[in-house]
Amino acid sequence: MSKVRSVKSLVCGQLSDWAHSPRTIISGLVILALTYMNARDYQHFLERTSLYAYWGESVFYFLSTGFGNLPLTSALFLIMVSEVPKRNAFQNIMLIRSNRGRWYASQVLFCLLVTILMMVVLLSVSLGFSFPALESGEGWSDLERMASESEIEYQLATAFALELPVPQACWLAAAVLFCFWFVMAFSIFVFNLFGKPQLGLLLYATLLSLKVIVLWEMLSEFDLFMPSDYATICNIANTQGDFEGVPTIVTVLLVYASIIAGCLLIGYLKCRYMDLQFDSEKV
Amino acid sequence: MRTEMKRLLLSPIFYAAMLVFFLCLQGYSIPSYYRQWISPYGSPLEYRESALSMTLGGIFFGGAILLLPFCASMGAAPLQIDDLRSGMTDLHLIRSSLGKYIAQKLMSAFISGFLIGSVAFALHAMIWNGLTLPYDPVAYPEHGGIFVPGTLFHDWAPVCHGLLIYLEITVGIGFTAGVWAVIGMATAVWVPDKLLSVTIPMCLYKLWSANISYYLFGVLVPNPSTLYNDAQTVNGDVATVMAYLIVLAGGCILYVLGLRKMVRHE
Repeated sequence: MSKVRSVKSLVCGQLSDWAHSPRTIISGLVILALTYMNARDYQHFLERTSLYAYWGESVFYFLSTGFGNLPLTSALFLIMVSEVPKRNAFQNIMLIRSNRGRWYASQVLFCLLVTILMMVVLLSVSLGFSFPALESGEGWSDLERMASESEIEYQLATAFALELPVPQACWLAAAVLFCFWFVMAFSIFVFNLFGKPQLGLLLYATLLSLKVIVLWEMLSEFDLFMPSDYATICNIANTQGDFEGVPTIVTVLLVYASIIAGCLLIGYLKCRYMDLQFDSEKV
Repeated sequence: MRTEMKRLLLSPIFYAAMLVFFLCLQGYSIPSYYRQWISPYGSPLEYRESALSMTLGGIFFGGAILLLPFCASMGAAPLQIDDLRSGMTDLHLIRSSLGKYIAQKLMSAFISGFLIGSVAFALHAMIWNGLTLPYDPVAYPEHGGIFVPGTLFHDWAPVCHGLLIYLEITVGIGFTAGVWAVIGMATAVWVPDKLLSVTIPMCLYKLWSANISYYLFGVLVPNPSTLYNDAQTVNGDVATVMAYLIVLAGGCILYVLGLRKMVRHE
Protein backbone atom coordinates (compact mmCIF):
# COMPACT_ATOMS: atom_id res chain seq x y z
CA MET A 1 0.00 0.00 0.00
CA SER A 2 2.84 2.37 0.84
CA LYS A 3 4.28 1.72 -2.64
CA VAL A 4 1.02 2.78 -4.27
CA ARG A 5 0.79 5.83 -2.03
CA SER A 6 4.37 6.75 -2.82
CA VAL A 7 3.86 6.48 -6.60
CA LYS A 8 0.57 8.39 -6.28
CA SER A 9 2.21 11.29 -4.48
CA LEU A 10 5.02 11.34 -7.07
CA VAL A 11 2.49 11.46 -9.91
CA CYS A 12 0.49 14.19 -8.17
CA GLY A 13 3.67 16.24 -7.82
CA GLN A 14 4.51 15.76 -11.50
CA LEU A 15 0.98 16.67 -12.58
CA SER A 16 0.98 19.78 -10.44
CA ASP A 17 4.32 20.89 -11.90
CA TRP A 18 3.12 20.13 -15.41
CA ALA A 19 -0.17 21.96 -15.00
CA HIS A 20 1.60 25.11 -13.79
CA SER A 21 4.17 25.19 -16.59
CA PRO A 22 3.78 28.07 -19.12
CA ARG A 23 4.32 25.53 -21.91
CA THR A 24 1.31 23.52 -20.76
CA ILE A 25 -0.92 26.54 -20.22
CA ILE A 26 -0.14 28.28 -23.52
CA SER A 27 -0.13 25.16 -25.70
CA GLY A 28 -3.27 23.95 -23.95
CA LEU A 29 -5.10 27.18 -24.71
CA VAL A 30 -4.15 27.02 -28.39
CA ILE A 31 -5.22 23.36 -28.60
CA LEU A 32 -8.54 24.25 -27.00
CA ALA A 33 -9.04 27.08 -29.50
CA LEU A 34 -8.31 24.73 -32.42
CA THR A 35 -10.65 22.09 -31.00
CA TYR A 36 -13.36 24.69 -30.49
CA MET A 37 -13.10 25.78 -34.14
CA ASN A 38 -13.18 22.17 -35.32
CA ALA A 39 -16.29 21.46 -33.23
CA ARG A 40 -18.04 24.57 -34.57
CA ASP A 41 -17.12 23.52 -38.12
CA TYR A 42 -18.71 20.12 -37.47
CA GLN A 43 -21.83 21.79 -36.09
CA HIS A 44 -22.04 24.18 -39.08
CA PHE A 45 -21.51 21.29 -41.47
CA LEU A 46 -24.40 19.36 -39.96
CA GLU A 47 -26.66 22.42 -40.01
CA ARG A 48 -25.69 23.44 -43.55
CA THR A 49 -26.24 19.98 -45.01
CA SER A 50 -29.38 19.33 -42.90
CA LEU A 51 -27.84 16.08 -41.65
CA TYR A 52 -28.28 14.67 -38.19
CA ALA A 53 -25.69 12.85 -36.09
CA TYR A 54 -25.88 10.88 -32.88
CA TRP A 55 -23.66 11.45 -29.85
CA GLY A 56 -21.92 8.09 -30.17
CA GLU A 57 -20.96 8.50 -33.80
CA SER A 58 -19.81 12.06 -33.11
CA VAL A 59 -17.44 10.67 -30.47
CA PHE A 60 -16.12 8.36 -33.17
CA TYR A 61 -15.89 11.22 -35.66
CA PHE A 62 -13.75 13.37 -33.35
CA LEU A 63 -11.51 10.52 -32.23
CA SER A 64 -11.05 9.10 -35.72
CA THR A 65 -10.03 12.48 -37.16
CA GLY A 66 -7.74 13.46 -34.28
CA PHE A 67 -9.96 16.46 -33.47
CA GLY A 68 -9.42 17.95 -36.90
CA ASN A 69 -5.98 19.58 -36.58
CA LEU A 70 -3.85 16.54 -35.89
CA PRO A 71 -0.35 17.81 -36.94
CA LEU A 72 -0.59 21.07 -35.01
CA THR A 73 -2.45 19.59 -32.04
CA SER A 74 0.17 16.84 -31.79
CA ALA A 75 3.02 19.34 -32.12
CA LEU A 76 1.53 21.43 -29.31
CA PHE A 77 1.03 18.32 -27.17
CA LEU A 78 4.70 17.60 -27.83
CA ILE A 79 5.56 21.03 -26.42
CA MET A 80 3.33 20.35 -23.41
CA VAL A 81 5.22 17.16 -22.56
CA SER A 82 8.65 18.36 -23.68
CA GLU A 83 9.83 18.89 -20.09
CA VAL A 84 9.18 15.31 -18.89
CA PRO A 85 10.86 14.72 -16.46
CA LYS A 86 10.80 18.33 -15.31
CA ARG A 87 14.29 19.48 -14.40
CA ASN A 88 13.83 20.98 -10.97
CA ALA A 89 14.91 20.32 -7.41
CA PHE A 90 11.60 18.65 -6.63
CA GLN A 91 12.75 15.58 -8.61
CA ASN A 92 15.75 15.16 -6.29
CA ILE A 93 13.54 15.41 -3.22
CA MET A 94 11.18 12.83 -4.72
CA LEU A 95 14.10 10.47 -5.34
CA ILE A 96 15.34 10.82 -1.76
CA ARG A 97 11.89 9.93 -0.43
CA SER A 98 11.39 7.11 -2.92
CA ASN A 99 13.49 4.87 -5.17
CA ARG A 100 14.37 4.64 -8.85
CA GLY A 101 11.74 2.00 -9.61
CA ARG A 102 8.90 4.03 -8.14
CA TRP A 103 10.18 7.21 -9.70
CA TYR A 104 10.22 5.50 -13.10
CA ALA A 105 6.73 4.04 -12.53
CA SER A 106 5.48 7.52 -11.66
CA GLN A 107 6.91 8.93 -14.90
CA VAL A 108 5.22 6.22 -16.96
CA LEU A 109 1.97 6.79 -15.13
CA PHE A 110 2.33 10.53 -15.64
CA CYS A 111 2.69 10.11 -19.43
CA LEU A 112 -0.32 7.79 -19.40
CA LEU A 113 -2.48 10.19 -17.39
CA VAL A 114 -1.50 13.23 -19.41
CA THR A 115 -2.42 11.47 -22.65
CA ILE A 116 -5.77 10.30 -21.26
CA LEU A 117 -6.45 13.76 -19.83
CA MET A 118 -5.71 15.37 -23.18
CA MET A 119 -8.12 13.05 -24.98
CA VAL A 120 -10.88 13.45 -22.38
CA VAL A 121 -10.63 17.25 -22.37
CA LEU A 122 -10.57 17.54 -26.15
CA LEU A 123 -13.48 15.14 -26.51
CA SER A 124 -15.52 17.01 -23.89
CA VAL A 125 -14.80 20.37 -25.54
CA SER A 126 -15.66 18.99 -28.99
CA LEU A 127 -18.94 17.45 -27.86
CA GLY A 128 -19.75 20.47 -25.71
CA PHE A 129 -19.44 22.93 -28.57
CA SER A 130 -21.17 20.78 -31.19
CA PHE A 131 -24.03 19.58 -28.99
CA PRO A 132 -26.74 21.85 -30.49
CA ALA A 133 -26.46 19.83 -33.69
CA LEU A 134 -26.33 16.38 -32.07
CA GLU A 135 -29.26 14.08 -31.45
CA SER A 136 -29.78 11.33 -28.96
CA GLY A 137 -29.98 7.87 -30.46
CA GLU A 138 -27.99 4.76 -31.17
CA GLY A 139 -26.18 3.40 -34.18
CA TRP A 140 -24.91 5.10 -37.31
CA SER A 141 -26.99 7.84 -38.93
CA ASP A 142 -25.12 7.09 -42.17
CA LEU A 143 -26.70 3.62 -42.28
CA GLU A 144 -30.17 5.11 -41.78
CA ARG A 145 -29.61 7.56 -44.61
CA MET A 146 -28.29 4.79 -46.84
CA ALA A 147 -31.41 2.76 -46.12
CA SER A 148 -33.74 5.64 -46.99
CA GLU A 149 -31.87 7.00 -50.03
CA SER A 150 -30.27 5.17 -52.91
CA GLU A 151 -27.20 7.43 -52.89
CA ILE A 152 -26.05 9.68 -50.03
CA GLU A 153 -24.05 12.86 -50.64
CA TYR A 154 -22.15 12.99 -47.34
CA GLN A 155 -20.89 10.21 -45.12
CA LEU A 156 -19.86 11.10 -41.55
CA ALA A 157 -17.96 7.95 -40.55
CA THR A 158 -15.23 5.97 -42.34
CA ALA A 159 -16.83 3.23 -44.44
CA PHE A 160 -15.33 0.26 -42.57
CA ALA A 161 -16.55 1.57 -39.18
CA LEU A 162 -20.20 1.21 -40.26
CA GLU A 163 -19.81 -2.57 -40.02
CA LEU A 164 -19.00 -2.28 -36.29
CA PRO A 165 -21.17 -1.32 -33.32
CA VAL A 166 -20.60 2.35 -32.41
CA PRO A 167 -19.00 1.71 -28.96
CA GLN A 168 -16.53 -0.77 -30.45
CA ALA A 169 -15.59 1.66 -33.25
CA CYS A 170 -15.14 4.43 -30.65
CA TRP A 171 -12.83 2.28 -28.51
CA LEU A 172 -10.75 1.37 -31.57
CA ALA A 173 -10.46 5.01 -32.61
CA ALA A 174 -9.56 6.04 -29.06
CA ALA A 175 -6.96 3.26 -28.79
CA VAL A 176 -5.16 4.30 -31.98
CA LEU A 177 -5.05 7.99 -31.05
CA PHE A 178 -4.04 7.17 -27.48
CA CYS A 179 -1.18 4.95 -28.68
CA PHE A 180 0.09 7.65 -31.05
CA TRP A 181 0.14 10.37 -28.40
CA PHE A 182 1.42 8.09 -25.65
CA VAL A 183 4.33 6.86 -27.79
CA MET A 184 5.10 10.50 -28.57
CA ALA A 185 5.05 11.56 -24.90
CA PHE A 186 6.96 8.54 -23.71
CA SER A 187 9.65 8.72 -26.38
CA ILE A 188 10.28 12.36 -25.37
CA PHE A 189 10.76 11.12 -21.80
CA VAL A 190 13.21 8.43 -22.99
CA PHE A 191 15.16 11.00 -25.04
CA ASN A 192 15.28 13.19 -21.94
CA LEU A 193 16.66 10.28 -19.91
CA PHE A 194 19.45 9.97 -22.48
CA GLY A 195 20.19 13.67 -22.02
CA LYS A 196 19.05 14.60 -25.53
CA PRO A 197 15.75 16.47 -25.01
CA GLN A 198 16.31 18.73 -28.01
CA LEU A 199 16.93 15.76 -30.31
CA GLY A 200 13.66 14.03 -29.40
CA LEU A 201 11.67 17.21 -29.78
CA LEU A 202 13.32 18.12 -33.06
CA LEU A 203 12.92 14.62 -34.48
CA TYR A 204 9.24 14.32 -33.63
CA ALA A 205 8.41 17.90 -34.64
CA THR A 206 10.14 17.32 -37.99
CA LEU A 207 8.25 14.08 -38.59
CA LEU A 208 4.96 15.80 -37.75
CA SER A 209 5.60 18.87 -39.87
CA LEU A 210 6.89 16.89 -42.86
CA LYS A 211 3.35 15.62 -43.28
CA VAL A 212 2.06 19.14 -43.99
CA ILE A 213 5.14 20.48 -45.78
CA VAL A 214 5.87 17.80 -48.37
CA LEU A 215 3.51 16.93 -51.21
CA TRP A 216 3.61 13.18 -50.58
CA GLU A 217 1.06 12.41 -53.31
CA MET A 218 3.79 13.09 -55.88
CA LEU A 219 6.09 10.57 -54.20
CA SER A 220 3.50 7.80 -53.96
CA GLU A 221 5.79 5.28 -55.67
CA PHE A 222 8.08 5.35 -52.62
CA ASP A 223 6.75 3.47 -49.62
CA LEU A 224 7.71 6.13 -47.08
CA PHE A 225 6.99 5.71 -43.38
CA MET A 226 5.38 8.64 -41.60
CA PRO A 227 4.24 8.24 -37.96
CA SER A 228 1.21 10.48 -38.49
CA ASP A 229 -0.10 8.01 -41.11
CA TYR A 230 -0.83 5.74 -38.13
CA ALA A 231 -2.15 8.43 -35.79
CA THR A 232 -5.87 7.98 -36.35
CA ILE A 233 -8.21 5.44 -37.88
CA CYS A 234 -8.97 7.85 -40.74
CA ASN A 235 -5.27 8.31 -41.52
CA ILE A 236 -4.71 4.54 -41.50
CA ALA A 237 -7.70 3.95 -43.77
CA ASN A 238 -6.65 6.70 -46.18
CA THR A 239 -2.94 5.97 -46.44
CA GLN A 240 -2.72 2.17 -46.28
CA GLY A 241 -3.27 0.65 -49.69
CA ASP A 242 -3.93 -2.82 -48.24
CA PHE A 243 -6.34 -1.59 -45.55
CA GLU A 244 -8.63 -4.41 -44.41
CA GLY A 245 -10.55 -2.74 -41.59
CA VAL A 246 -10.33 -4.18 -38.08
CA PRO A 247 -7.44 -6.63 -38.81
CA THR A 248 -5.25 -3.74 -40.04
CA ILE A 249 -6.17 -1.62 -37.00
CA VAL A 250 -5.36 -4.51 -34.66
CA THR A 251 -1.99 -5.01 -36.40
CA VAL A 252 -1.22 -1.30 -35.98
CA LEU A 253 -2.18 -1.51 -32.30
CA LEU A 254 0.09 -4.53 -31.83
CA VAL A 255 2.98 -2.64 -33.43
CA TYR A 256 2.26 0.28 -31.09
CA ALA A 257 2.21 -2.14 -28.12
CA SER A 258 5.62 -3.54 -29.08
CA ILE A 259 7.04 0.00 -29.50
CA ILE A 260 5.68 0.96 -26.08
CA ALA A 261 7.12 -2.23 -24.54
CA GLY A 262 10.50 -1.49 -26.16
CA CYS A 263 10.48 2.11 -24.90
CA LEU A 264 9.49 0.94 -21.39
CA LEU A 265 12.37 -1.52 -21.33
CA ILE A 266 14.95 0.95 -22.66
CA GLY A 267 13.75 3.60 -20.23
CA TYR A 268 13.83 1.18 -17.29
CA LEU A 269 17.36 -0.05 -18.06
CA LYS A 270 18.62 3.49 -18.55
CA CYS A 271 16.91 4.76 -15.42
CA ARG A 272 18.28 1.90 -13.34
CA TYR A 273 21.95 2.64 -13.99
CA MET A 274 22.11 6.32 -14.90
CA ASP A 275 23.20 9.19 -12.71
CA LEU A 276 19.93 11.05 -12.25
CA GLN A 277 20.50 14.81 -12.42
CA PHE A 278 17.87 17.47 -12.78
CA ASP A 279 19.83 20.68 -12.87
CA SER A 280 20.51 20.97 -16.61
CA GLU A 281 19.47 23.79 -18.89
CA LYS A 282 15.93 23.95 -20.18
CA VAL A 283 15.16 22.53 -23.63
CA MET B 1 22.65 48.92 -34.33
CA ARG B 2 25.59 47.70 -36.40
CA THR B 3 26.81 45.53 -33.54
CA GLU B 4 23.35 44.10 -33.02
CA MET B 5 22.93 43.30 -36.72
CA LYS B 6 26.41 41.77 -36.85
CA ARG B 7 25.53 39.60 -33.87
CA LEU B 8 22.30 38.46 -35.52
CA LEU B 9 23.82 37.82 -38.91
CA LEU B 10 26.74 35.87 -37.48
CA SER B 11 24.44 33.68 -35.40
CA PRO B 12 24.14 30.10 -36.72
CA ILE B 13 20.48 30.00 -35.71
CA PHE B 14 19.74 32.81 -38.19
CA TYR B 15 21.05 30.68 -41.05
CA ALA B 16 19.34 27.59 -39.63
CA ALA B 17 16.01 29.45 -39.71
CA MET B 18 16.62 30.56 -43.28
CA LEU B 19 17.53 27.01 -44.27
CA VAL B 20 14.41 25.57 -42.61
CA PHE B 21 12.19 28.04 -44.45
CA PHE B 22 14.01 27.38 -47.72
CA LEU B 23 13.49 23.61 -47.25
CA CYS B 24 9.81 24.19 -46.44
CA LEU B 25 9.44 25.93 -49.78
CA GLN B 26 10.90 22.85 -51.49
CA GLY B 27 8.13 20.64 -50.03
CA TYR B 28 6.04 21.16 -53.15
CA SER B 29 8.69 21.86 -55.77
CA ILE B 30 10.99 18.86 -55.34
CA PRO B 31 8.22 16.20 -55.37
CA SER B 32 6.56 17.96 -58.35
CA TYR B 33 9.84 18.20 -60.22
CA TYR B 34 10.52 14.55 -59.50
CA ARG B 35 7.09 13.49 -60.73
CA GLN B 36 7.20 15.62 -63.86
CA TRP B 37 10.83 15.33 -64.93
CA ILE B 38 12.40 12.23 -63.39
CA SER B 39 9.80 9.62 -62.42
CA PRO B 40 8.94 7.00 -65.08
CA TYR B 41 5.28 7.43 -64.04
CA GLY B 42 5.47 11.21 -64.49
CA SER B 43 3.49 13.64 -66.62
CA PRO B 44 3.90 13.75 -70.39
CA LEU B 45 6.09 16.60 -71.68
CA GLU B 46 3.28 19.04 -72.44
CA TYR B 47 2.08 19.14 -68.81
CA ARG B 48 5.32 20.24 -67.17
CA GLU B 49 4.92 23.17 -64.79
CA SER B 50 6.60 26.54 -65.31
CA ALA B 51 9.28 27.98 -63.02
CA LEU B 52 6.68 30.43 -61.67
CA SER B 53 4.31 27.62 -60.78
CA MET B 54 7.13 25.59 -59.21
CA THR B 55 8.26 28.59 -57.15
CA LEU B 56 4.82 29.57 -55.92
CA GLY B 57 3.64 26.00 -55.36
CA GLY B 58 5.43 25.76 -52.02
CA ILE B 59 3.52 28.79 -50.78
CA PHE B 60 0.12 27.76 -52.17
CA PHE B 61 0.52 24.23 -50.81
CA GLY B 62 0.52 25.57 -47.26
CA GLY B 63 3.27 24.04 -45.12
CA ALA B 64 5.71 26.89 -45.68
CA ILE B 65 3.01 29.43 -44.81
CA LEU B 66 2.47 27.86 -41.39
CA LEU B 67 6.17 27.71 -40.59
CA LEU B 68 6.99 31.27 -41.70
CA PRO B 69 6.34 32.89 -38.26
CA PHE B 70 8.29 30.06 -36.61
CA CYS B 71 11.35 30.58 -38.82
CA ALA B 72 11.03 34.39 -38.68
CA SER B 73 11.10 34.49 -34.88
CA MET B 74 13.94 31.95 -34.68
CA GLY B 75 16.47 34.60 -35.69
CA ALA B 76 16.08 37.18 -32.93
CA ALA B 77 13.79 35.90 -30.13
CA PRO B 78 16.18 33.23 -28.71
CA LEU B 79 18.99 35.82 -28.66
CA GLN B 80 16.78 38.18 -26.66
CA ILE B 81 16.19 35.41 -24.12
CA ASP B 82 19.94 34.77 -23.93
CA ASP B 83 20.43 38.49 -23.26
CA LEU B 84 17.86 38.46 -20.47
CA ARG B 85 19.11 35.25 -18.86
CA SER B 86 22.77 36.18 -18.98
CA GLY B 87 22.26 39.73 -17.69
CA MET B 88 23.56 41.17 -20.97
CA THR B 89 20.52 43.46 -21.18
CA ASP B 90 21.53 45.16 -17.93
CA LEU B 91 25.07 45.71 -19.25
CA HIS B 92 23.69 47.16 -22.48
CA LEU B 93 21.53 49.56 -20.49
CA ILE B 94 24.49 50.78 -18.40
CA ARG B 95 26.27 51.87 -21.60
CA SER B 96 23.17 53.07 -23.42
CA SER B 97 19.52 53.98 -22.81
CA LEU B 98 16.39 51.85 -22.70
CA GLY B 99 14.87 53.69 -25.69
CA LYS B 100 17.96 53.14 -27.82
CA TYR B 101 18.18 49.50 -26.79
CA ILE B 102 14.51 48.91 -27.66
CA ALA B 103 14.84 50.63 -31.04
CA GLN B 104 17.96 48.63 -31.92
CA LYS B 105 16.43 45.33 -30.85
CA LEU B 106 13.14 45.85 -32.67
CA MET B 107 14.74 47.10 -35.86
CA SER B 108 17.29 44.32 -35.98
CA ALA B 109 14.57 41.73 -35.27
CA PHE B 110 12.45 43.11 -38.11
CA ILE B 111 15.41 43.10 -40.49
CA SER B 112 16.43 39.57 -39.52
CA GLY B 113 12.85 38.32 -40.07
CA PHE B 114 12.72 40.18 -43.38
CA LEU B 115 15.98 38.58 -44.52
CA ILE B 116 14.96 35.07 -43.42
CA GLY B 117 11.76 35.23 -45.44
CA SER B 118 12.88 37.15 -48.49
CA VAL B 119 16.36 35.69 -49.00
CA ALA B 120 15.05 32.12 -48.69
CA PHE B 121 12.27 32.86 -51.18
CA ALA B 122 14.57 34.70 -53.62
CA LEU B 123 17.02 31.80 -53.56
CA HIS B 124 14.18 29.35 -54.09
CA ALA B 125 12.90 31.37 -57.07
CA MET B 126 16.35 31.60 -58.64
CA ILE B 127 16.95 27.86 -58.34
CA TRP B 128 13.64 26.88 -59.93
CA ASN B 129 14.05 29.44 -62.70
CA GLY B 130 17.36 27.81 -63.47
CA LEU B 131 16.01 24.26 -63.36
CA THR B 132 12.69 24.57 -65.19
CA LEU B 133 11.21 26.52 -68.08
CA PRO B 134 10.44 30.19 -67.40
CA TYR B 135 6.79 31.21 -67.32
CA ASP B 136 5.80 31.90 -70.94
CA PRO B 137 2.17 31.18 -71.83
CA VAL B 138 2.75 32.36 -75.43
CA ALA B 139 5.38 29.72 -76.18
CA TYR B 140 3.89 27.13 -73.77
CA PRO B 141 0.10 27.54 -73.52
CA GLU B 142 -0.08 24.99 -70.69
CA HIS B 143 1.73 27.51 -68.43
CA GLY B 144 -1.26 29.88 -68.48
CA GLY B 145 -4.39 29.98 -66.38
CA ILE B 146 -2.80 29.60 -62.95
CA PHE B 147 -4.14 32.90 -61.58
CA VAL B 148 -7.71 34.03 -61.12
CA PRO B 149 -8.71 36.85 -63.55
CA GLY B 150 -9.12 40.20 -61.78
CA THR B 151 -6.24 39.60 -59.37
CA LEU B 152 -2.93 41.44 -59.41
CA PHE B 153 -0.94 38.32 -60.23
CA HIS B 154 -3.12 37.62 -63.27
CA ASP B 155 -2.20 41.05 -64.68
CA TRP B 156 1.47 40.87 -63.69
CA ALA B 157 2.19 37.32 -64.85
CA PRO B 158 3.01 38.16 -68.51
CA VAL B 159 5.60 40.84 -67.53
CA CYS B 160 9.17 39.49 -67.83
CA HIS B 161 8.20 35.85 -67.08
CA GLY B 162 6.47 36.88 -63.85
CA LEU B 163 9.28 39.11 -62.50
CA LEU B 164 6.82 41.50 -60.84
CA ILE B 165 5.23 38.59 -58.98
CA TYR B 166 8.61 37.38 -57.73
CA LEU B 167 9.49 40.89 -56.54
CA GLU B 168 6.13 41.43 -54.83
CA ILE B 169 6.33 38.10 -53.01
CA THR B 170 9.93 38.72 -51.95
CA VAL B 171 8.91 42.02 -50.35
CA GLY B 172 5.56 40.71 -49.04
CA ILE B 173 7.04 37.61 -47.45
CA GLY B 174 9.88 39.69 -45.97
CA PHE B 175 7.49 42.25 -44.47
CA THR B 176 5.26 39.51 -43.03
CA ALA B 177 8.26 37.66 -41.58
CA GLY B 178 9.60 40.93 -40.13
CA VAL B 179 6.33 41.58 -38.28
CA TRP B 180 6.31 38.03 -36.88
CA ALA B 181 9.91 38.43 -35.76
CA VAL B 182 8.81 41.46 -33.72
CA ILE B 183 5.94 39.40 -32.27
CA GLY B 184 8.56 36.78 -31.36
CA MET B 185 10.54 39.47 -29.51
CA ALA B 186 7.43 40.57 -27.60
CA THR B 187 6.82 36.94 -26.68
CA ALA B 188 10.43 36.50 -25.59
CA VAL B 189 10.24 39.27 -22.98
CA TRP B 190 6.94 38.09 -21.52
CA VAL B 191 7.62 34.34 -21.69
CA PRO B 192 11.41 33.87 -21.54
CA ASP B 193 11.31 30.34 -22.92
CA LYS B 194 13.12 29.73 -26.21
CA LEU B 195 10.71 27.09 -27.43
CA LEU B 196 7.62 29.17 -26.65
CA SER B 197 9.14 32.34 -28.11
CA VAL B 198 9.13 30.69 -31.55
CA THR B 199 5.98 28.61 -31.24
CA ILE B 200 3.64 31.29 -29.86
CA PRO B 201 3.96 33.44 -33.04
CA MET B 202 3.23 30.32 -35.10
CA CYS B 203 0.16 29.54 -32.99
CA LEU B 204 -1.12 33.12 -33.24
CA TYR B 205 -0.60 33.01 -36.99
CA LYS B 206 -2.48 29.71 -37.25
CA LEU B 207 -5.38 31.01 -35.14
CA TRP B 208 -5.51 34.22 -37.19
CA SER B 209 -5.33 32.25 -40.42
CA ALA B 210 -8.11 29.89 -39.24
CA ASN B 211 -10.29 32.98 -38.62
CA ILE B 212 -10.58 32.69 -34.85
CA SER B 213 -11.97 36.24 -34.77
CA TYR B 214 -14.89 35.10 -36.90
CA TYR B 215 -15.63 32.11 -34.68
CA LEU B 216 -15.47 34.19 -31.50
CA PHE B 217 -16.85 37.58 -32.53
CA GLY B 218 -18.17 37.15 -36.07
CA VAL B 219 -15.51 39.54 -37.42
CA LEU B 220 -13.67 38.65 -40.63
CA VAL B 221 -10.08 39.88 -40.90
CA PRO B 222 -7.72 39.64 -43.91
CA ASN B 223 -5.77 36.41 -44.17
CA PRO B 224 -2.24 36.79 -42.74
CA SER B 225 -0.71 35.23 -45.86
CA THR B 226 -2.37 37.69 -48.25
CA LEU B 227 0.81 39.66 -49.00
CA TYR B 228 2.58 36.69 -50.54
CA ASN B 229 -0.23 34.47 -51.67
CA ASP B 230 -2.25 34.45 -54.89
CA ALA B 231 -5.67 36.12 -55.36
CA GLN B 232 -4.20 39.48 -54.30
CA THR B 233 -6.15 42.65 -55.00
CA VAL B 234 -5.26 46.27 -54.23
CA ASN B 235 -8.02 46.52 -51.59
CA GLY B 236 -7.03 43.21 -50.03
CA ASP B 237 -3.37 44.22 -49.86
CA VAL B 238 -4.17 47.59 -48.28
CA ALA B 239 -6.40 45.94 -45.67
CA THR B 240 -3.71 43.36 -44.87
CA VAL B 241 -0.95 45.97 -44.59
CA MET B 242 -3.18 47.96 -42.23
CA ALA B 243 -3.88 44.84 -40.17
CA TYR B 244 -0.17 44.03 -40.01
CA LEU B 245 0.70 47.61 -39.02
CA ILE B 246 -1.73 47.33 -36.11
CA VAL B 247 -0.20 43.97 -35.14
CA LEU B 248 3.30 45.47 -35.46
CA ALA B 249 2.35 48.40 -33.23
CA GLY B 250 0.81 45.99 -30.72
CA GLY B 251 3.95 43.85 -30.79
CA CYS B 252 6.20 46.88 -30.22
CA ILE B 253 4.06 48.11 -27.31
CA LEU B 254 4.04 44.66 -25.70
CA TYR B 255 7.81 44.41 -26.17
CA VAL B 256 8.41 47.80 -24.54
CA LEU B 257 6.11 47.00 -21.61
CA GLY B 258 7.62 43.54 -21.14
CA LEU B 259 11.21 44.74 -21.35
CA ARG B 260 10.58 47.59 -18.89
CA LYS B 261 9.12 45.05 -16.48
CA MET B 262 12.10 42.75 -16.97
CA VAL B 263 14.84 45.35 -16.52
CA ARG B 264 13.19 46.67 -13.37
CA HIS B 265 13.26 43.06 -12.11
CA GLU B 266 9.56 43.32 -11.20
